[in-house]
Amino acid sequence: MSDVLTGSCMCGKVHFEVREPATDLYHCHCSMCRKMHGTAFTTYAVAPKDSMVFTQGADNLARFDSSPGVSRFFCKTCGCQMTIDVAAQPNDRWFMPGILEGAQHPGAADTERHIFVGSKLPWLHLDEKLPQSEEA
Amino acid sequence: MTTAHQESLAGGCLCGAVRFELTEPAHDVYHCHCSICRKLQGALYPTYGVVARTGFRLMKGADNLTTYDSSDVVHRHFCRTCGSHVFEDTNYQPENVWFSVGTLDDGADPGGRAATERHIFWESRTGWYEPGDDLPKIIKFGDETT
Repeated sequence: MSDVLTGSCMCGKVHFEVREPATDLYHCHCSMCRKMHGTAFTTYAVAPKDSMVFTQGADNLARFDSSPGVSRFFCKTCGCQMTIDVAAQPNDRWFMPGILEGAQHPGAADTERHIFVGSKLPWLHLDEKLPQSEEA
Repeated sequence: MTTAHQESLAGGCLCGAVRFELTEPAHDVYHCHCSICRKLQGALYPTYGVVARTGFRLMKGADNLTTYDSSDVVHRHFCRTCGSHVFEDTNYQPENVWFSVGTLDDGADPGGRAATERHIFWESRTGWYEPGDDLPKIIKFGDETT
């Protein structure tokens, strides 16, 4: 198994590599993340920023600051949400495991959990095997 | 039981540039596990509601949408400011609009779930996250259950 994770947007203009396994993995149910992705919930992995490299198309990313210090980057062409930088954690970068090639596991399986469950869609059934927290 | 008047649902992207209303509930709701939908919305499986075009009103921000054609017949519209995928059109069902359920305000229920909610393209799922519900799991788009 390769130690390097590879990911890309749908249209293929933007590619990245994650050269170290993720250190954190969670499913977020907050209303902001739902609207950002248009999904029932979102899934994020966190990797050391130095290990995450855009190998193609970084100039095709648009940036949206969803709150002060939280910058989200998506492909201008296909709208794929790809990464997040958080000013308070300058050594980390968030990426979306759903866009890894071949549905690779991002790593950090022991950290996988649901967060902001207090905000989740009331009708969404969660995998009860994972830990849940009301907020972060 | 008589059907109560359906209140309209409102939705939009995160930044608020694009807003829409539904004047009728969705008649179809599903969670899609295909790799195209995953990559478009940066999620493990997006959830879509299907509504008659007559029940979908784009209230604001048509000029702030970018359209990406994920195939010759599927046209996806996202906000160019925040990137939120709001809705899509298809050539094969021009009478319908697909909307991203996560864009509804306040986590509103899109309607139509009791009869239709299901997982589709189940065999394309990531394999490491199991939704853990009892909904039907469809192999592709039609009626082939696993």
